[in-house]
Amino acid sequence: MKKTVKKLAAVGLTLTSVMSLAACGNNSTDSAASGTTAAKEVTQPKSFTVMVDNTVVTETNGGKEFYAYLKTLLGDGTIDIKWIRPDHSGYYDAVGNAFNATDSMPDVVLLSADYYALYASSGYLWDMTDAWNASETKNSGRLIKTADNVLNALQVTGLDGQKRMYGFSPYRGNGCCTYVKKTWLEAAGHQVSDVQGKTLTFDEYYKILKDMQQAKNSVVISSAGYIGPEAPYTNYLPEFYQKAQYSFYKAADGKYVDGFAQKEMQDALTRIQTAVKDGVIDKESVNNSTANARDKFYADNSGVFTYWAGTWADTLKTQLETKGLDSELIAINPIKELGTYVERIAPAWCITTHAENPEGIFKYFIDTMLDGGDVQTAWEYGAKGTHWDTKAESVTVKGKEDKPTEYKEGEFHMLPSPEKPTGLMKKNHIDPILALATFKNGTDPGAKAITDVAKTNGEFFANNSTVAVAVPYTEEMADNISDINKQRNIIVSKVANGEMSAADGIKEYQSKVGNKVDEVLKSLNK
Amino acid sequence: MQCKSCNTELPKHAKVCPKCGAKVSDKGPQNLKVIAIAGAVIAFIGGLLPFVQNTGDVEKAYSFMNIQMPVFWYLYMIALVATILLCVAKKEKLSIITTAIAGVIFAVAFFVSPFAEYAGRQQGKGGTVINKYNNVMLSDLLSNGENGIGMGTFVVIIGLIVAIIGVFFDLLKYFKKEINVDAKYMTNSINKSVWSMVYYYRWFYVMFLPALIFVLLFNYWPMLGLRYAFTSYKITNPYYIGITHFHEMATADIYFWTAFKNTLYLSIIKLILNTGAAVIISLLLHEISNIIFKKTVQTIIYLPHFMSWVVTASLFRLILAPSSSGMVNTFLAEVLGMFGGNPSNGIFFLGDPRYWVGSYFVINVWKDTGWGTILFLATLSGISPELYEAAEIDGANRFNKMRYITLPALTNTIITVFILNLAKVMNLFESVFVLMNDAVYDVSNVLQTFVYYKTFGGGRPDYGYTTAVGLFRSVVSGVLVIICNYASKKVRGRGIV
Repeated sequence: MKKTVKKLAAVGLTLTSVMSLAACGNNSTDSAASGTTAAKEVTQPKSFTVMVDNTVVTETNGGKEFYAYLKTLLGDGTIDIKWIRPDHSGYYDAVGNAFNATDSMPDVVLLSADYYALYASSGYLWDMTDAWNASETKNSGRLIKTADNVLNALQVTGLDGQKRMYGFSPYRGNGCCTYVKKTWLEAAGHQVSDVQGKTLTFDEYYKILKDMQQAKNSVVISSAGYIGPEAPYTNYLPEFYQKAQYSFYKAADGKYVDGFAQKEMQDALTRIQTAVKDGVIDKESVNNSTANARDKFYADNSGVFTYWAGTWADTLKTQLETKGLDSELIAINPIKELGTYVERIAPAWCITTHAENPEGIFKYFIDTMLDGGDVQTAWEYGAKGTHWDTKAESVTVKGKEDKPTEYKEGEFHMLPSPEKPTGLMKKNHIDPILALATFKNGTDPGAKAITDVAKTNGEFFANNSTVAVAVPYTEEMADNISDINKQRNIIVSKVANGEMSAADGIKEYQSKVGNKVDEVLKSLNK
Repeated sequence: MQCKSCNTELPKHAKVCPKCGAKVSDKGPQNLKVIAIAGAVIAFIGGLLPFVQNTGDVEKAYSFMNIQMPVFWYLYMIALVATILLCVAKKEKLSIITTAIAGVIFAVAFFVSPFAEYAGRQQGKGGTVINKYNNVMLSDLLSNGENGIGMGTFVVIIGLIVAIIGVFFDLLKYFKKEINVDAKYMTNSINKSVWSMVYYYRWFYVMFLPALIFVLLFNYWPMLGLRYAFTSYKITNPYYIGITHFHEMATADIYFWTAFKNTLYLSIIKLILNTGAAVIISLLLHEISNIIFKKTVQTIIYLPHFMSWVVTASLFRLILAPSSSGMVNTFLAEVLGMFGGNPSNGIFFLGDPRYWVGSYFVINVWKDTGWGTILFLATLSGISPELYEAAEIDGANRFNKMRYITLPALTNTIITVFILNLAKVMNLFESVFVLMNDAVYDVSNVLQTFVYYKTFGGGRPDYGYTTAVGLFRSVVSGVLVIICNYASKKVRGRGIV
């Protein structure tokens, strides 16, 4: 009996420790992180973690060389950055998981506009307003004219309800413009001069699309979804959505309304439904990823494509050339009903409240991204010796070994991409066309490496776009937006595929998530 | 009768073993007191449910999980775990004491310790986000007219009473048949106590230890996270909200019941089709006498099983595309002259809810049927050829041999496979996830994809809610396992768990 009791006591104690460990932690609060903005001496951080998507050169494309090169440029060369590189397509799943517990939270994270507003409003991002105001970049006098538009959009509401800056973006958000293939245009009996530089009406634009459809007996537009996955959402089919707003926005009377329930959206959905029925828009768009949509454009299965401006204009052209197709693309002006293309709110580099030395991270990491010198060059073009170089050499790309390019000592030139040596590296994280600050001597060292196509298109987009307006995140919105957006997407797909009329779609939307929408609107209009 | 300690044959009416001196008990082996264990489990679950519940706001609930002194909860759980262990060790009388201790702890916690009421979030020391709480006493809660006694209190009391009373009832004896065999003819393991058996086989237990630790660490430890089903867990800092999630799931969620219905429908039909197809193909393969041809066919039909679902989905998107690149629509349009000869006007198999479900089943049958035939073919290869020879002598043709020999021989395997797979029907995710899209969401959304979109679909995920859905799914799966086990006992004479 005594032995039994002893043994049971031992087992019981073990279980006690297990259960105690399990039960602990639900009220845990962290003490290590320091998010204060109080004035104190800024010290160089020893090490910190950075979570970023594939907009920074991937590890298969010379990422490790970039990390090493950046390390030599930051501070006294001893800052140890631990890079967290989740799969690009599952990046925000990984971010969500990382924010699930404070011990898995990265110190620095790159966030899209929606997630930025969400985590800022939930209190997980460090307020960098004061640090930014005192920063070298802000006071350098090198910021471009439109920098304020970008940075103002990053002023979002924090946990205390105050609008502050919780993230920094070193580049403009860019956006999508519509590219038309010259061959398709001519096959439909139109000339380049009919569209280039002209502001078409929707009817004129749609007539051209229908002419193309008949001439090619094929769909004309195959987009990456009928609706985009992030703000401004409507940017893959802007001519059809026109002024319609997918989400909540502030109306002329100063009150927030649900854009999806407005007449403009109903009309937009009707236009999309008609276009799908007419065979102008590919009904497979509902299944398309961006890669699928691009591949169809490259394979000449579509003739009009709304996609990213700037460097992507050059990539699309190059890919068409590689496939042996006519590569002339015309970026058309926004149609009359659309007014301007929409520039998305740029993804923001944020420091989490988990970081022990946020001031140091800001000063030695974020503020250096646009230093107008070597660090900015690294963020724009990659690692010296891996992605670009200035030494005298002969550069050849794979498959064109008979056409080497000679460079003199000191001449900046891009090197073949480590991942795809059939072409040269184009850029790293910051698109040189979109950088928010110029270089110290006023000259971008890699300016020659930027193709005319990318440069011209970048300027074209800048002249024909406006920055999207950020919607404040309230508790109610944060809790309900996933259900509301899911229902919106379902309705868009059902209407586009002809399962129901746009009016019925909006009715179904209101009947299913109307109460959630009302709750959000009430919180926004408080 | 044998000594439990050394297995020596004992003289009649012996009080101690003449060889080892161990005491001889008159009592035979006792049955497990399952009612007492069930009571402890009920009381354990009661500890998660609200003791006090706001009548207007279901989120305002008070229990062990938001008690200001959580040590009460830990002690309560320890006492109940001790109750269960004592019952398992057949020391039921002692378990009454631990159950009573659990009752006392509950009473003290309920009446004396304040509850921590959630009062929002704030930026804490160092900028981190922390929860704010107000401490409220039971008397204050019950006197303001907004709260009432919650179901947790009743469940705990009922559980504790059952745990104590259950000690005096031997439920299992009604289900046991008397075998009327003298104990000396029974195996040693039946005659020995649990502890002496453990000691006797101690080195086997030592060898088993790594596997046990692995299972505890990776299978049972994560189960402790189920407590989050009773919390609001938005990004970090969970706090107790009682049964809010279950209430919302049942009454307010616009996607939940559709997802539940789709899960059952897609899984069960898929199971029937896959099993049926596997049986038919196995029977046909069994009839093939050319070994080379048979093996080649087998290899070909096994191959799709090794393709990932992502590749399979991409492949079928291409095959079923409503365009000139879609093989099926091109065949229908150009060979059969349908859709005005234009495949772009064809059927959108994976984007039209009318065709998606059928397409999903076809893709599943294509992918998994081959693999499913392995078990059936193994069974078929074990059928004695003499049976077929005898049937031939009796004049049976090929069809009759299949009907009267092959199929009956397969029946047991078919039932086993069917029952084993039935228990897994709630685990549907990958195959649906890669084939679904917004246009077919109403017919394709299943519980696992529902949880995925709730968590990663934008906005602020509530891990508490998705854990509650997971818990619901687990309970349904558990019920299905029990049903399957019962069905298996009825059909095959023995259970599967």
